[in-house]
Amino acid sequence: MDKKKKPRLKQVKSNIVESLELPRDIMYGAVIITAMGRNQVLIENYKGIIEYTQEKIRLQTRHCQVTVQGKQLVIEYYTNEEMKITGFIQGILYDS
Amino acid sequence: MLIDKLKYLQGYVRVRLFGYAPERFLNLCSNHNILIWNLEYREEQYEFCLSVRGLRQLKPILKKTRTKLVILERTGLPFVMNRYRKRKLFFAGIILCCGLLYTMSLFVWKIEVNGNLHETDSNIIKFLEENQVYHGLLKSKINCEKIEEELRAGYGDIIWASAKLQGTMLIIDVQENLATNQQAQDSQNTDDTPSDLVSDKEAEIYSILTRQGTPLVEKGARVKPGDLLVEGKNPVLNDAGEVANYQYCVSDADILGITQYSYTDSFSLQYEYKNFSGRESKAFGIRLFQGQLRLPHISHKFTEYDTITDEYNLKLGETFYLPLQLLRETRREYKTEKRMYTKEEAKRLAKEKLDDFCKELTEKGVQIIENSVMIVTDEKNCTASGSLKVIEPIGSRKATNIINIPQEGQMEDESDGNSD
Repeated sequence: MDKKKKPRLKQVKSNIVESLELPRDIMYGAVIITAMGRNQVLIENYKGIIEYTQEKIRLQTRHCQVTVQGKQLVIEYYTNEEMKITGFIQGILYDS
Repeated sequence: MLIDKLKYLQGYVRVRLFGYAPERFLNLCSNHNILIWNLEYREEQYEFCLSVRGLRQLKPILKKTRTKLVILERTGLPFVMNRYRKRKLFFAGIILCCGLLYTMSLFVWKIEVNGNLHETDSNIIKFLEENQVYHGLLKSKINCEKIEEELRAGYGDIIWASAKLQGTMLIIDVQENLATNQQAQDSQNTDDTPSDLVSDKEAEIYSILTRQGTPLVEKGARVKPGDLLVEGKNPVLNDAGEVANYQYCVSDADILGITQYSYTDSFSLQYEYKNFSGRESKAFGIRLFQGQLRLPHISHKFTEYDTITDEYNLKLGETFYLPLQLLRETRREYKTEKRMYTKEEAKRLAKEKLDDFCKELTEKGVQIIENSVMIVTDEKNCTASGSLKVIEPIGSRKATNIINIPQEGQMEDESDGNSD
């Protein structure tokens, strides 16, 4: 019963979100990635840091993992909600 | 920028982190709301900044993640204060300075007067001083509304006044009556007591235009001081042609008279000339409240000199005037030399003086029609003498002599009411 109910509930929720145009970041806890130029990335709604080296920062978000690749990456600051990464950014990857 | 300042005020440290699970440490920090910034990864070690408050909460996290922490550098005010904690006088000085600044800000150090055209600033400030509003008064003792009232009451031609305190400055804005002082005085004089116009100098009447009253002189008449020009009463005749009564009025007329001004001016051809040597000596001083402290002139000692004193008001910002002034006294040396004017120079000088005199007369509304001043220069003196013939308004006001005439009864209504 439960297993059948869950996808249906999810469907209802996504229908409501779609039709009312509610913000997805609040409703789903979706990650927001704002890249400014080549040297700055602002990541909101992340859960935690999995890995951090100068070339790679791997973050856990609610639905997936986000990897920021680059050179000389520095976390300018991070709080519970957001993180600012500076350095030479080469790529942003999503892994499940 | 502001955040940087706040961080500095609170104090922060830069630390190096290493050990078993540094990533977990970072996640725990964000979960505990400990702010970390400028996080860098160097040679398998993490370096980052965090606040002093955050540092104190780290102990359980360090234990849980089996990591270790080394403090690399300390920045911020708490550390500076800690380093200088033994310098008691330094802190006393800071507190004293703050206290002094606060105390000084309780007083008025400058009074600014705006909008006055006829009354000078110093007049108004003197007036305020008489009303117990002066430089150095406690701000709390100033009642702006009272000052405004006093100004309006004290000066007839100030029709609007506003006083406000800004910083340590008392700003007084006034609006004067647009009519000139003369007009204001005239309007004050227009009371209803009947008056005559009386000649105030010896003159020949050039023109007379009477608006009110009975003219007693004609054009071309010669008058002496005290002569009646326009009388402030009009005779009322009865049917028989006799004077039954007088209607009194304030006489009003434009009377122009030709008068003579004698002019004599004499000065010696010899004069003292200040020959400035160009040497100067400067001395500085300060003025605190009423007291003055001057440093002596060291560099030069002059026997004859002009003194120029410059005063500078010290202020903080735009309006916070401190009761401290810097003085700069400059002495310029000169040598007195006795010199003689040449005849041309003397003549020019005498002419200039005469022109000044004429200009002064013209400014008073006098028209010069004849100028018979001769300038004579002899060996020692230069003399200008002669007379100026001018056309000027004459006549001064004097109360009318009211004559009582026995009433016949029916004339009462026509009289002005003053002759009872």
